[in-house]
Amino acid sequence: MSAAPSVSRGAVGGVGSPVRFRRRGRLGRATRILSDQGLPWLSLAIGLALWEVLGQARAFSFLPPLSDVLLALRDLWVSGRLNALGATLQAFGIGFAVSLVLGIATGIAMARNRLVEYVLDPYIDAFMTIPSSALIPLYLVLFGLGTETRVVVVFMHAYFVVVVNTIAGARSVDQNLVEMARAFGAREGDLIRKIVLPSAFPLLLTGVRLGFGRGVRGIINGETILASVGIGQLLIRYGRSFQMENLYAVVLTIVLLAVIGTTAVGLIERSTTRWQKT
Amino acid sequence: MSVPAVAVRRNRRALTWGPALRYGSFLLLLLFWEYAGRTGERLLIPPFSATMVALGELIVSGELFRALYVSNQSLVLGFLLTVLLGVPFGLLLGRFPILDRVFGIYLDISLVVPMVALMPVVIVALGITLAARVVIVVLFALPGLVINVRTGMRGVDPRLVEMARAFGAREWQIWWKVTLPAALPALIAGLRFAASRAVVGMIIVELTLISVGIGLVIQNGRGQFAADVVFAGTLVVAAEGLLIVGLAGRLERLVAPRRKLGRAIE
Repeated sequence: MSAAPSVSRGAVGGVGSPVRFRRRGRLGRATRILSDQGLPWLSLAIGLALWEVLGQARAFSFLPPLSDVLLALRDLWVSGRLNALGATLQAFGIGFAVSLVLGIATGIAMARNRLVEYVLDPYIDAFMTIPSSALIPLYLVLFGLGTETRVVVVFMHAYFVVVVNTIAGARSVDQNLVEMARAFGAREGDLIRKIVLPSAFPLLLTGVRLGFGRGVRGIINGETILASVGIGQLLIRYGRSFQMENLYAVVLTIVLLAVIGTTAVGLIERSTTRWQKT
Repeated sequence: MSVPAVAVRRNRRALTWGPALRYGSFLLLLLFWEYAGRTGERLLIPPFSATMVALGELIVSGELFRALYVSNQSLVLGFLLTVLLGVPFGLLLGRFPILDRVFGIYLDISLVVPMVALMPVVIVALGITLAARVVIVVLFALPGLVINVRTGMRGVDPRLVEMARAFGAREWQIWWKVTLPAALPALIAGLRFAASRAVVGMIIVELTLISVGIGLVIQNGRGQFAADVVFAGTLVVAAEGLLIVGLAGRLERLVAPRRKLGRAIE
C-alpha cells in the first residue's frame, strides 16, 4: 500500500490479515469496496485486452486475437458444429446423477454399518488415491466408444468423492439426536431420512460440488482420449489441424460452461446451508 | 462415554466377519475378472491371467522400463517446476491480499478449466517435445498447489505473528519459525493434490497428442486390439499414481494428522 492519506490509521494486521491499515470514513469504504470487488474484474478486463492486443500484433503464432476467437465461436455455434456439446452434457448429466444417487446411498450405508465400511473402505481409498483419469483407457476397452463409456467415466470420477463426503456428513450427526429418535421408537429408515440426511446436508453438498468438478474433468478427459465424440473430439481435431481460432473458441466454451456450472453449484451450496450454524 | 451393548455387539460382528469379507470380496473380484475374461468376448475384457502375462512380457522385454523412463521425465521435471513456481506464488498470494485480488481470479478460473483443453495450444507453441509435455504437466498440477499454499498462508494465526514480533523476532525469523511451519500442512496437501493431477497430465498427453512412453504402449495395445496390453499398461499407470499420491498422503499425515473434517482444497 502506498503512503497513507490524512485519515487515521487502524491497527496493523498480522500475516494474511486483510488489513494493513484501514482508511476510515466514506471515502475509505468506497475505496475498499472498489478494491475488493472491482480489482479482480479490472484485472480480468486488462487480461482480455492484453489478449486482443497481443493477438492482433501476431506476437505469438499460437495466439489469435480475442475478437477472431469470438467470431469463430459465433460461426461454430451458428453452423451447428457445437452440437457435440449436447451429447457431452447428456452423458455428463446421466453419469453425475447416478454417481450422486449411488454415492449418497453408499456413503450412508458405510457410515451406519461398520461391516460395510470395513469391506468397502480399501476400494474407496484406492480409487480416491489413484488419479481417476488414469483409468480411462480401461473403460474404453471395457465399454467401447459409445455413450455408456462416457457415463461410466463421469461416474467413476464423481462417485468416490461423493461417498467420502457423505460418510463425513453422516458421521457428523449429533448422537444425542439419534439416541432421542431411537428412544421414540424410530427405525433405521426413519432415522436416516429424518435425522441423518438433514444433518449431513452441508457436507453432502460439498461432495456434490467436488463431484461436479471431478465429473467435468472426467468427461472432458474421457472425450479427449476417445477423440471420436463430443467436445473432446473437437479439441483434438482443431488442435491437430492447427485451427487456432476454432480451438480457442471451443476452449472458451468449455471454460465458460465450467465456470457457470461451478458457480451455480456453489450458490446452491451457500443458499441451502445458510441456516446451518457452521 | 460408555459404549452401549448394541454397539459392542455391532463392533464384534464387524471385527470377526470384517477381514474375511474384505479379502474374500477382493478374491471374488479377481475370480470374477478371470471368469468374465474367459467366457465373454475376448476383445471385451482380458482375463486377469492374460493381463498379468502381458505385464510380465512388458517387464521382461524391458519395454516397460524404457516407457516409464520416458514418461516420468515429464512427470519429474514438471512436478519440480510446479513446486518451484507454485510455492512462492501461493505464499505471495496468501501474504499480500492485493496480489490475490489481482491474480486470484485467474487462479479460480484455472482451477475449474479442464487443462486438457489447453494441451493443443501448448503443443502448437512448443511442438512435439519434452518441453511441451513438461509444460502440460505444470498446467495440470500448478493450480491445485497454488490454491492450497495460499490457503495455508491465509490460515496462519496473526496472533502468533504478533507474539513473535513482540519477542523481537526479525522478518525472516517470523517467516522461518512461525509462518512456514503453520502453512506446511496445507502445502503438503497441495503437493498431494498436485501430484495426482501431474500424473494425469503426464498420461493424457501421451494418450492423445504425443505418443511416447507408457501412453504409447497403451495406444499400441488399443491399435492392435490387444486388450491385455491396454489393461497392463493402465494398471502400471494407476499403480504409479497410487504410489506417488499415497506417499504424499503419508507425508501429509506425518506433518499434520488430519483433523476430522480437514481436506485439501480440490
